Amino acid sequence: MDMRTFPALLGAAGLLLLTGCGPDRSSGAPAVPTSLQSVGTCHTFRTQYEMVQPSDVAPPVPCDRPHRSETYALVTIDGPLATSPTRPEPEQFDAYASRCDAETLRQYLGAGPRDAVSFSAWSRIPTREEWAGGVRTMRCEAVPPVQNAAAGPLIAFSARDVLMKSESAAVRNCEFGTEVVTCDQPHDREEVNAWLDLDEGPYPDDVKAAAADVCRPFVEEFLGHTLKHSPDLTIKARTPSKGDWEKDTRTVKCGVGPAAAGATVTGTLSASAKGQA
Amino acid sequence: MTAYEARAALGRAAMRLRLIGEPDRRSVRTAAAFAGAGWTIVMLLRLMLGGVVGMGDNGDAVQLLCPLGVVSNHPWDGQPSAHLYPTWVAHDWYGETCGAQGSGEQYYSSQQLVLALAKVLTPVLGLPGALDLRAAGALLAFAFGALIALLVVLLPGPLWLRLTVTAGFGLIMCDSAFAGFFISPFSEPGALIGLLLLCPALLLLWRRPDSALGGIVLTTVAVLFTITAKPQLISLVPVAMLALLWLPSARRKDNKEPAPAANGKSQQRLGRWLAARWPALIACVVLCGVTAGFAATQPKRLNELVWYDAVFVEMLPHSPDPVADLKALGADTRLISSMNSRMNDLNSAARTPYWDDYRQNVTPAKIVVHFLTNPGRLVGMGARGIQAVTRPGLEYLGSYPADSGHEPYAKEHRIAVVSTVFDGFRAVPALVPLLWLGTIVLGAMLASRTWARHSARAVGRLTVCVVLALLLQFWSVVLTEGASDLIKHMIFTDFLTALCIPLAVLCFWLLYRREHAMAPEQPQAG
Repeated sequence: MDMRTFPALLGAAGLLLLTGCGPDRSSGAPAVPTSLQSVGTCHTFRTQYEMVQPSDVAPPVPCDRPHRSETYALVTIDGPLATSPTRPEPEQFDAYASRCDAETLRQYLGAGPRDAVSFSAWSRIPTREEWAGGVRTMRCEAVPPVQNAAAGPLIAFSARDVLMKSESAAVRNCEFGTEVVTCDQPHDREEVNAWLDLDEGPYPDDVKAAAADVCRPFVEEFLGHTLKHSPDLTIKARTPSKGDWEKDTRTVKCGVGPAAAGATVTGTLSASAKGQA
Repeated sequence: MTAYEARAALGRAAMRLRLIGEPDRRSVRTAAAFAGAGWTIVMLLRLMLGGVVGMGDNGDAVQLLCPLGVVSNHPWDGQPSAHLYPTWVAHDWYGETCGAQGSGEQYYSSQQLVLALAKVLTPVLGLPGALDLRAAGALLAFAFGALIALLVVLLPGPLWLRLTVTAGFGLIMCDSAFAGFFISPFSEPGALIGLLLLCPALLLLWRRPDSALGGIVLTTVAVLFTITAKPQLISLVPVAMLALLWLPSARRKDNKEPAPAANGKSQQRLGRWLAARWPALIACVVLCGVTAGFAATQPKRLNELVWYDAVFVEMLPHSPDPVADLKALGADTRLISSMNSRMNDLNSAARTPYWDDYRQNVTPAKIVVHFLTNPGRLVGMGARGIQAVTRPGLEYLGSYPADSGHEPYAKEHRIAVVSTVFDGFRAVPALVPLLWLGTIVLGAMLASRTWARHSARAVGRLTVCVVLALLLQFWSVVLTEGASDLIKHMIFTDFLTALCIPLAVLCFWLLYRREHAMAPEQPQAG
């Protein structure tokens, strides 16, 4: 063999040797199958990338440790999709996402009828491997609101019945001016779960007063008492503009907050959170 | 000193340095070592001087790096596309989070070899984290310098010509359009180095009248490394096979070229042709086998995304009658509502009830045949492709770290020779196909000149192969990815197009100044 071919052969051999060295995927605690992650398990993710993936078999974390989501329901995938031997594309599970419904989430969170829920419902599908093994369980997860943009959605307590506790202020959405904040921070308006339509007809002369009239019973239900007992509070409804009205938008979003201009509240006003509901 | 005297002094100095005239082996090696070391330093400086420069992530990073057990250390609200985050820390990946686009399917790339070495090198260099992309950049800079040195050795002509041409190669790789990839979480740097490695490999292959075994091995390794870096480069295989089989590779015992078949039987001619190329044929079989195996391991999810884009991002939006296209493909025409969507968009066809039927009816072969049976459409696709070629560099990915003080998405343009030339192409896009045409003609002319020495003809063949490779790459990108992220996918076509410039100049020079291309023992033609 020509001596000049040796360097090339040596290089090739080195490359092949390296090719034989497979990548090392580090392994810590073992993965936990989707079906074993029952209702009430909590999950955390280091990156947004991992959080938005369609499946998750990372080991759960204790719910008193920082976590980003919590399983609130397990539903079974049925129908034609379930008969596929290989897992369909994640996009094809859209029709099943509604199984992770808002009412079940409200019940899990212990929301009173007028408590606005700021958690969002996510769904997790089985991995390809699990699907091939016959798993057809979809996990519904409650994702808390973002308190701190730099940290993302993160809580260190269980979301189960959380809206029945005063610490729920950290996972309720309030407003300070136009900024959305969690209710454990100073704010001047708290959302009430009541979206109502004003009566048909011409745009009201005093739309705020009209909105306050329709919102009053719902706000009082939220507070657990009449507004007469809290003269420092007032109804703060989001009302449609005249332009919206001309486009047939009549919806009013009810809310409550301090009556005095510039005054703020810290914590939630919800009766449920105070055990009064 | 008069101008004449100064010129004479320069000439004497050049002679002393052996820059002109036929260089001896020692001066070639010395020049190669200096050129290699010099370009390594240039690359290291342009990547590290004044703060690290690289490229942000468009979302492809995890699939490449997660098998190494690392994760980017950017904060939760960091913008990986706006800034470069070179440090990756140890991390446990579970289930499908590590895989191609969250599918859990393993993504393979030869660039992972570079990154695995960089992981070993990271603590040695005192860099933070489990893997720092700066270590990968340093490794690639050394590989780049070594390849420049190899080119100096293997190119024909006097040293000044070799150093000038390799300077062209060096400037291209150091250009902001390509160098940023060296410190990036992408597979592209492996492929760029692989493409550059192919140049000396092919020159080595054709240095003698019959292909050298070392050249065959090095070419095969270079092609495999390149293809397995980035699957879109599978288009290299036909060109690599042409290159391997171009010359006979089995040396006859009497050291003569195989005689033409006396009886003229084509079967015998074929038999002799094959017998004269059996080492290269073995290399071709290996090449095809590994490529087929690599293609089979490609994540199905990535293939789905590619072919989805070919229809919903490229074919339908640029069609005069998209509904007719869907009909011709055998797809439900109600999928027209998904035109211009990506597969994971909210209006994706995959979210409709017609998706299963679509997948059954619309195969990749059907899509390609549909394009080919509408040649008018290919013209439009080609024109859009050329426009993309004239825009090298990914302006939507930042070059600097978040703590560097630069604005998000700020791009580094310190070496912008290629970018400037391509700016000219952008004004007159027709110059790009003209460059390709001119280069392949010059390459073919040089390759066919019997008076030229083998190393010069090798340059001609290399030039022909570069143009063929870029044409195949161009059309494979246009036909598959289409308008989806076309600029990023055209990066290899850009790189090969840029290489056309020094190669065309070299071919022209060797044709024009025959004394540099002619075998020393041959008399100079009149």
